[in-house]
Amino acid sequence: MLRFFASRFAQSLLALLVIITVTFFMMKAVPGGPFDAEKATSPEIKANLEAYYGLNKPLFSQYTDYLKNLLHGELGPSFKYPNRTVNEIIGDKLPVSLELGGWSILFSLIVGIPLGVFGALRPNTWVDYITSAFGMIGISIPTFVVGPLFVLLFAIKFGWFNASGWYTASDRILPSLVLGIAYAAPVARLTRGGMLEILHQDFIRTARAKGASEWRVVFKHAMRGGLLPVVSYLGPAIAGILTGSFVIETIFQVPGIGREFVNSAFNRDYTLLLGTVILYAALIMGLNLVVDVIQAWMNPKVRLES
Amino acid sequence: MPPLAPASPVEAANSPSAEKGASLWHDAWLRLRKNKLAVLGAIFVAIVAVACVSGPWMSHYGYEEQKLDLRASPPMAHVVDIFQPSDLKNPVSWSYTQRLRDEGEFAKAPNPGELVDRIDHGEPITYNGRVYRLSKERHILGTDTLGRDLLVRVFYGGRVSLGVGLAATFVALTIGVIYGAIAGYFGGKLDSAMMRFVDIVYSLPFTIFVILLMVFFGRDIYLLFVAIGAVEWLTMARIVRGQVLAIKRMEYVEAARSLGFSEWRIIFRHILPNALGPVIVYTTLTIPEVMLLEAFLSFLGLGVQPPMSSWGLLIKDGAEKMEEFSWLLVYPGLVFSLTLFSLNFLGDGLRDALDVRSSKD
Repeated sequence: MLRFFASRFAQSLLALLVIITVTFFMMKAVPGGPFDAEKATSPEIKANLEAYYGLNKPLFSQYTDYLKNLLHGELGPSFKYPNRTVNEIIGDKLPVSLELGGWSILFSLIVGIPLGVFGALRPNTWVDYITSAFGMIGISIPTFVVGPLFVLLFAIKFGWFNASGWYTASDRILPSLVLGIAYAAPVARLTRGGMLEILHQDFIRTARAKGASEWRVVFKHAMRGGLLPVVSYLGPAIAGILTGSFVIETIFQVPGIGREFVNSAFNRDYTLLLGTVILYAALIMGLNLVVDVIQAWMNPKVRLES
Repeated sequence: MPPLAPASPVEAANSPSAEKGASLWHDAWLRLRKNKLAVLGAIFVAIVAVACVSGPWMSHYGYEEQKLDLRASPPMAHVVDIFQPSDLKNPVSWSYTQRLRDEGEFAKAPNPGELVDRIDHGEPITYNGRVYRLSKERHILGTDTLGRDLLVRVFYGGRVSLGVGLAATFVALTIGVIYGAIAGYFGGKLDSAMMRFVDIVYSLPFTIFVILLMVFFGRDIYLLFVAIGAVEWLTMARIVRGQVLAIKRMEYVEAARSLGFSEWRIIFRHILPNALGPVIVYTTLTIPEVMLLEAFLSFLGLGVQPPMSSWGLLIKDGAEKMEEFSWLLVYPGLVFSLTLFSLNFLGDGLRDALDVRSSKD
């Protein structure tokens, strides 16, 4: 188990280093820097600025400097927000995105798992059809259509919520809902598939033959294996929710890190861009790692194969 | 099992369908035809594709053509041509009846409402030295805030969205099939190295990668094909590899090898054609995925740039203006979602018809 974890961990670190390196050099290779702004800066000022940010050093030592600082957890100063470091910006904005993501995941599990379980228990009945239809809707109607439509309906027409912002508790509802729906659909589909497969297995028949209650059969015996596909989906899902929040944060004007990432891309705020890319990559790969470990713990087959 | 499948080899030999050759494809077609949702999906996608390609030719509005007088007119609004009395051929400006009403164009007349009603019924009205006459033209889906015809823009957007979908899927298909076939056929160390690479790339955050590409190399539509294609080939490679691994152990491949055929010939002529089923299914399911990614990028302003049109861009535009002009969001969103729906149903139907077990989930 420890070896399994260690090898996965090493692989993730390597991938992270590749991402940092590629992004760093891609950034440097592109013509146009953050100080080629609209208004012309005099050569002296530009030289000073470049010296301050270390841009006058050779490319490779800029790279090693960046890595050194990164090891100390320093992501450097932002190019566009004067006097602010990337660490501060992330410290400000990340909690908001994490809260949004947390509510969304919670919502998708609360809606998706029961739908999937009921669909699997009564296959080819109306409950099942609702599950399937819901799954299709979730796949086909993207968040950037659902989001504005919900705003139009629930905020503008009915006036139940604010159209945008992140101030009151009720401001959390619409964004989390919209983001959660998209992931509730695959969760429902995977739960249904997983449960259907498990419910046909011998040990379930044995449990039923022993006279275990249906409740017990479903929750005690079938759930553990039946939810395996959902667990393995959670890694990509959380990654998707994090990146999906670019759109949600833009639509609902949520002051999260996703909006900051998109803005930094537009503003060519390279340090902030690189910082957020590293953050996202580390988060996503860390989550995948956790999911792998949970999966191995839940299913001995996976553990033995690797 | 479908009833058409012969129950035994003897029966198969005697039944008329055996003469025609009840091939895998023929069976699949019969099964697909029974799946109503898949058929409906295919029909809808075909209609949308034909409309997007031919629609702009049939309409005399251009996708860039702005008529600021007619900005933000609702779907099917009654357009009014406004003339100088001296020239009743060429309108000097335009409006639509609801706006004439709302903006009190005839406020100083004794009976403003009645005037608008009469225009609405097709009667030309002269007022304040100008002639108002109902136009024969209608903007079926209305116009956007620059007075561009929304329907034409939806058609044009469809060309771009479907085009990106097809082109990027083709890129993904080509890379994925070749990569997967090589890994699967040659096996051994090469295979494990190649698949390890796929695993690693798989764990990278794609969306971020595509966004970075678009930021660094400009928002070029051809780059968009390549960028999306470059991240979507991984699943295809895995699927093809799995198929090739299974097929290469079959006897007919052994036979081909003993005949001294070259390895490339065996891969491309003998193995790949038999791995086609899953490839087709996955290709159909990749197209909506790619279209979604394109729309996502355009929505963030990182994909297709105005004045070009794409469904993602139209939705972005609509979302910004939906408070006043909800049709700008509703129709592009509807067409986009229905197309994705249809493609997904078609893909699912093909999967059932070709009896491919999903290796994706």
